[in-house]
Amino acid sequence: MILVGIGLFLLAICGAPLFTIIAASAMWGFYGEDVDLSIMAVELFRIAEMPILLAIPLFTFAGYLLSESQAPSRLVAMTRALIGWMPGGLAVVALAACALFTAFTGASGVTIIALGALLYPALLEDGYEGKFSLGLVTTSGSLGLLFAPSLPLILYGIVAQQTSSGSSVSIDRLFLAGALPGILMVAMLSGWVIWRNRHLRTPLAAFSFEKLAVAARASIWDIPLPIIILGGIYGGFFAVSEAATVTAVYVLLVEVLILREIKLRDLPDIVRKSMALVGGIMIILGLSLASTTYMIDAEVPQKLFAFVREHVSSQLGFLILLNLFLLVLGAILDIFSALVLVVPLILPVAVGFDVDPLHLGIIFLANMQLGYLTPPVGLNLFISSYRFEQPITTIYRSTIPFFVVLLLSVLIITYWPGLSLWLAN
Amino acid sequence: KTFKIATAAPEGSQWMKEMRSGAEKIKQRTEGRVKIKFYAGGVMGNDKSVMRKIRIGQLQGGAFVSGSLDEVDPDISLFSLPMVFRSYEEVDYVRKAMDRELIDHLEQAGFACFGFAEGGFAYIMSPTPIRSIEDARGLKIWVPEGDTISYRGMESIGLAPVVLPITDVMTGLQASLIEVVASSPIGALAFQWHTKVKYVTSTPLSYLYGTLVIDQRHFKKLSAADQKVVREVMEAIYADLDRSNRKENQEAVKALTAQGIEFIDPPADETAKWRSITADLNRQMGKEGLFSVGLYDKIVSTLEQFRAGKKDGTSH
Amino acid sequence: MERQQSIVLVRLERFGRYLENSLLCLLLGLMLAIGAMQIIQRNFFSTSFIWTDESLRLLVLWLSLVGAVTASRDDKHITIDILSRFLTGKKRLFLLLVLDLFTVSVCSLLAWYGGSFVRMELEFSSKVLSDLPAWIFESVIPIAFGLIAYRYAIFFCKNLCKLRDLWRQE
Ligand code: NA
Ligand code: NA
Repeated sequence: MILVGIGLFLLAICGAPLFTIIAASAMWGFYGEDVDLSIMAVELFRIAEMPILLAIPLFTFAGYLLSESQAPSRLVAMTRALIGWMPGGLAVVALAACALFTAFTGASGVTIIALGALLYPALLEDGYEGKFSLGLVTTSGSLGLLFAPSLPLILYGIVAQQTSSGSSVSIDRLFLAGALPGILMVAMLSGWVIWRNRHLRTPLAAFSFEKLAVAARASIWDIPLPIIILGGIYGGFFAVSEAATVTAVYVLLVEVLILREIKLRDLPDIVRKSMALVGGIMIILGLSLASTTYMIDAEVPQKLFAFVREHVSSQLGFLILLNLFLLVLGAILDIFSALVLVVPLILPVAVGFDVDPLHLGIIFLANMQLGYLTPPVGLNLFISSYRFEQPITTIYRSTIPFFVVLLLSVLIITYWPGLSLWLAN
Repeated sequence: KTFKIATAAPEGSQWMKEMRSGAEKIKQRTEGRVKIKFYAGGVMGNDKSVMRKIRIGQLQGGAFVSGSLDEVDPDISLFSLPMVFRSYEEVDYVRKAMDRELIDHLEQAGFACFGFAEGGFAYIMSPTPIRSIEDARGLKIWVPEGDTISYRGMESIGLAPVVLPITDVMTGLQASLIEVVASSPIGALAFQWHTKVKYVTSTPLSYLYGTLVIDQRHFKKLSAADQKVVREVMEAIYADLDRSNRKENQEAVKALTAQGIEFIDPPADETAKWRSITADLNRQMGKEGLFSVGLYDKIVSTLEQFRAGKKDGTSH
Repeated sequence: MERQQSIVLVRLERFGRYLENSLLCLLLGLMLAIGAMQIIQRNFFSTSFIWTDESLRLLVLWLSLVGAVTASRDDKHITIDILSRFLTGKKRLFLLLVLDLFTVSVCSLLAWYGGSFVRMELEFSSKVLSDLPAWIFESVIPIAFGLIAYRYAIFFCKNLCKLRDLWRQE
């Protein structure tokens, strides 16, 4: 058993495709439990049962189109004209944009491939260091989970409401509770990127309305996109899950028919490249469903939590162990399984230690967000490594400073309940 | 022997608490020979996936809403057809007469079944009062994907059905992508849809119920005595859930009213119009083979019997 | 003889690539078209089809698996790869052989059991999109893993030849 584990680990760090490692470990587990291995296909077929996954191929395609077009340069020109006086201006814009995007799409790595693909070349063009830019887009991939209308936030509300704990966890209040902690995360990261790039700025005197007008005219077809998406969702024209379709169709029409930056004959190649990436990610997600099922079967989360529970006697002790527990969990389980499985376990205990259910939800999601970045297994790290064609070790190193800042913010969020509860009450 | 049973019912709900207590009783009474392990909250996938996992033997059973068993036997969800019942009295009368028959259908299809538990009536919940077909016309109502019968039911009474995954319902209501939902009071509270509506039309739209099934291939391997224990305990639990869920729905109605949601009674002639339209639709869907017309007719004639009896009772 | 065989393989590979590319474009195009249709239908005609979402999700599955086959074309699957970069020459080739063999075995198992899943769905006449047989849509699973296994088997053979050549040179 341990030997198999070590063997798979060695194969993994030697460079066997990640999906084969996940598949092999799940199959080994099921084999030991006498479960027919066609379970693997049953689990894989669940890809076709999850509406949220629809966004992945569509946003990936849109992201590839944008990165192959002149859109990154236009974005650079626009931010330079608008906030060129501000050190780290584009980096801060990138953080805010990623947070907003993740709030609408959830955090499945799609932010990195869709928006990161646009932002990474833009950051490089604007003079940011390669490693810094890489770390930034990788980290931003899960930023924004705490902002409405993020699906994990809604799901936490529903699950917590069912777990009768006395006080009600309304989704509307949860949205309010997430706002300040979410802003804190973005603000702390912004502070870091501004300080890190304090040399990167043009003097305020260089600001001119003419330059801005030129940049705006060039971006005349890019500016409507976010307006169409947000207006479409809040105007009730389409669902959050359909925003990906609208984006992909819009970008396709603009880039190919209107601006003609991408030639029709180049399209099949872009489709192939983007869908190979989609295939690479989805096959991992699909087979992870199988390994998750095995872990649920073997009651791994329950056992982990039983351990946590045994070793706490105070609120502070509980919160510290909770942070560790959630960090581990975020690295091995997808966020939706983690919510459904673990929230009913921890909520009664948390309430016992006087932790407000709203605050617990924010702690939970903030930790899960870090889990996407925790080496060796955080999914966003691999996705970034693949998309930007960088060795995984480079990605690890590039995310370290961002990870530290985020960790700090998660600790503040955890030990300062007022931040979460002030708006909600 | 361990039975692994999956369900979409969330951990911590009344449903799960009762089923877990049942499992404990079974374990004691069979001296540990029969254990039941539950996977709640849909972690094993949606009902279709759970059914597949039962087929390959990773799971041995599931607690489903009636509609999810359509593939096993299309007649299982007959009670859920649009506007069949007018009151819980009618439900009780028909179910007393027909539950056994539906359960036997499942047993013949290879599943041990321990009775049905009520989920309650689904009602139309909306931001503006709906008292007539005119009020309903063009309002966008959420329909779960793949639910053909609901879709056609909603359409027939003038609503504009919008098919969305359940994850989009909350934000959809907020942004008026959908304006109306049909849900039981318990369901509306659980998913917090009640925060986005103001009125509930008190004419029952359809009747929801769930059931627990265990694959006979595994169930039959138990000794006759153990089988009897499992049946006794689980049937008692389901009978109990059936009663307690009705109470829970009544309390949910109170909670909704307390939060300022208004229950409205449409005028009698409008309700009659709705009922005649949906009755025609039901018969039509039966003819198309979505369920057996014979059984549907039996429900209708049982109901007529009940209504006639009730009239006699009051006139004497 | 060996030469002729390899020409056949090369042509087969070229045809396969063409097929993959066309299939990807077709699937993605369908996905965009169906998704856009649903939004237009709802906003301008106040109707929608009950099957739209399910068909989109099936397309996601197909795109993902065909995409995964495409990714295996140039051995471009997501890896953690920390160690192999430090190896060169024969050692590196030997490691690649082990990895290829591992990948081929895992994918073959997935293809085999995917096949038995499809047979089971056929037997139980499971349905998707209200009344289409599910097995047709599910058979993409064993086929895709079969093709990935085939691709890695070819990488295995190629690496074996390279190793043989290295040995001969010495
Ligand atoms: Na994760
Ligand atoms: Na749920």
